[in-house]
Amino acid sequence: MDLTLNASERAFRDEVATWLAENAPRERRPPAGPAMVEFDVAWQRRQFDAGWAGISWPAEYGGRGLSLVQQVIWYSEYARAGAPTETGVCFVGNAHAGPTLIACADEELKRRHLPRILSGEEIWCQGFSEPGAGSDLAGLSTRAVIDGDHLVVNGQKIWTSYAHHAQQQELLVRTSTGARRQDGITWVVCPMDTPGIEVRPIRTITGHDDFCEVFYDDVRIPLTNVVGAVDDGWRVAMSTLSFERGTGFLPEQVELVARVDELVDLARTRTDRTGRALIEDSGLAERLATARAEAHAVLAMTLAVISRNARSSLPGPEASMVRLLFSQLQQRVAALAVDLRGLEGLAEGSPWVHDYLYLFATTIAAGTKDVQRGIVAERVLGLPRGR
Amino acid sequence: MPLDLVPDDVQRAIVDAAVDLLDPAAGAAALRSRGDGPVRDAGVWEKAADQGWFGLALPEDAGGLGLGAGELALLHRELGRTLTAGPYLGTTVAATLFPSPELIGGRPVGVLIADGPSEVGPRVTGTFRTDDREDAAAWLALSPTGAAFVETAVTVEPTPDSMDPGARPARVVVDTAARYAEGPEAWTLATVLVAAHLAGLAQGSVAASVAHTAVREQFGRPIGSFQMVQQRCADMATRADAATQLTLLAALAREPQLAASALLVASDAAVTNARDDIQNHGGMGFTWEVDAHLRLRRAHGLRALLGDAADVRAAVLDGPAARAW
Repeated sequence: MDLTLNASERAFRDEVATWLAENAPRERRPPAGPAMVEFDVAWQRRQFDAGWAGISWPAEYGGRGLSLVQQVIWYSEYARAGAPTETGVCFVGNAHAGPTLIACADEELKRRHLPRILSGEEIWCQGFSEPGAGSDLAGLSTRAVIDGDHLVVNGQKIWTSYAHHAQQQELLVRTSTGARRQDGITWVVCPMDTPGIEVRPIRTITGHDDFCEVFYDDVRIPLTNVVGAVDDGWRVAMSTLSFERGTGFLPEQVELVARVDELVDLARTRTDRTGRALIEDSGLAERLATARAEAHAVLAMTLAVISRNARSSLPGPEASMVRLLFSQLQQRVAALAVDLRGLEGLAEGSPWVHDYLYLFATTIAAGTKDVQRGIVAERVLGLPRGR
Repeated sequence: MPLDLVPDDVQRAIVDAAVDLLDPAAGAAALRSRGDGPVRDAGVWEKAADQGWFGLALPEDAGGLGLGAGELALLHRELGRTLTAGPYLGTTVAATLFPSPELIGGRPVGVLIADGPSEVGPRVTGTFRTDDREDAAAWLALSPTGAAFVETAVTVEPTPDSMDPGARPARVVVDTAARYAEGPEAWTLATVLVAAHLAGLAQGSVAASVAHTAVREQFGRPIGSFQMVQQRCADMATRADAATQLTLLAALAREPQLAASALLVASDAAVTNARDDIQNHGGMGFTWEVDAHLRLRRAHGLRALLGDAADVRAAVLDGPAARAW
């Protein structure tokens, strides 16, 4: 247990903070459409050009090859500078597909894709969920058969964020049926311009096309695009679900602290009909104080997960507890932001309504909160397996 | 490594020593019988003093072990986990702020918190409350802005018993000169240590629920395999982890807002987990013999020790968000 940064880490923190203060976009990220894609890619490019993309990625693929502590510092300062923490179009490439390629892909795939992910040239999407396989990912049934030196894919994916903007997809397909359902799955890089792919955007509760259905009709993908081995995709997928050793959500978590700060300030200045400051309302004060305290707790829990993961090669299931608290806290803070603003907070198209609606996804995506609780019960606490 | 929240070997050894010394079964039995007189187990207290618990955070040349608030928090979490009672809080904070061989050696110090018009400074006056009326050989008056060490001239008026059988509440009237340390350090440390005790209670409730639901069978299966029970236990574990990690972070940062945040999160964790633990034990949870109610009682008492909910809220909302790194 130690929070003290040494002189070179403090210098790194100052360097990062200075660059971010001068370069982080000030304007709000557009919520959808070509303007959103342009915004995300331009910001990714600016980080890449200045040498800040891929903080912990190996230098030979365009990253910085820095330590875990420096990565934590970068993410923390990034959020404190007000840089965009929304799940942008570059998110899957940076946070999931890229780290998976680094961990499991051959040299050819790494050299082809990693620099392009960092420079913003390649947007990636994640082809995991299916109509019949959501939280129960191992139930996926999109099939691929080997035909010569190609996989031929038929089936359907769903809830694929930004599939309509992506050039590449990390795709899980069923190549055989083994003893366990996790056997016989293959992880493959699927170029989204391959003939036979049809993408249909789905309108979400925010009113925007945030994700898509993707249909595959005899889609031919070279076998050289397989990461790991055919039938070994479950291991490949799980190798990066630990999410960069626990740092994956750190920017959003640090940003949440700043978001609560804004709400505390708002509650001090905004008054009710009688002229009383909102913060004098003990109910609102309790919600604000709990939100700030729990936002601090999320950071502490994440730091503990990072510290534990740094000591062991196998990340533990404790990250599910962070996910449980963080995702529900995000929703509570978004609700507070709406409630504190009265009628203004209810305006359709306002950022507060958008965030409030968009954040319903956080207790569903990456395993619903119910699934996360099951993981905590059985894998953290060791309770008997149930169904 | 910096930015590290996992105990190292030395810190784990401290926890192991506490686990060896503290006997939860004996502690709970004493609480259950609620005898008169001091709640402190004198034998355990003496050994704790011998092991250097009270001077843990003092430099070695001041007679301490040269460790810090993080290690103290680990110890006080064990006090909570094992339901250990006694004036550990006041003695530890007093020894840290006003080092002396007697305090490091375990002269018991009760905590005084303002309860009406009062002044904590070089002169301490007014009405205070305490949980340590039977035990204290001296007093530590605590306020968010300073702490005073009071050795003489107090009037102790017992008040009704607390729902926590480990507390011996009283109203204490003081009007005397005192050794005074200005600044928020004592209050922050006390807040962190109360949060640590509450985090330990929350963890104790998780452990008790897991131990029970993993073996208790109904409908031919352990009840811990039922989703409803699993989900409740998962939420309990999450609360306990939030309380524990935030308390350790606050201990290392020694920062008032983080300490208040830890107290808020740990108070909720301790009370809610104790309630859930009673529920998880079914009919047994409603009995005097099962420890679940003792943790509930302690959690309520300790949550109110340093002030009411509005005080804690105000401390959490004071100023912009604190940074730990």
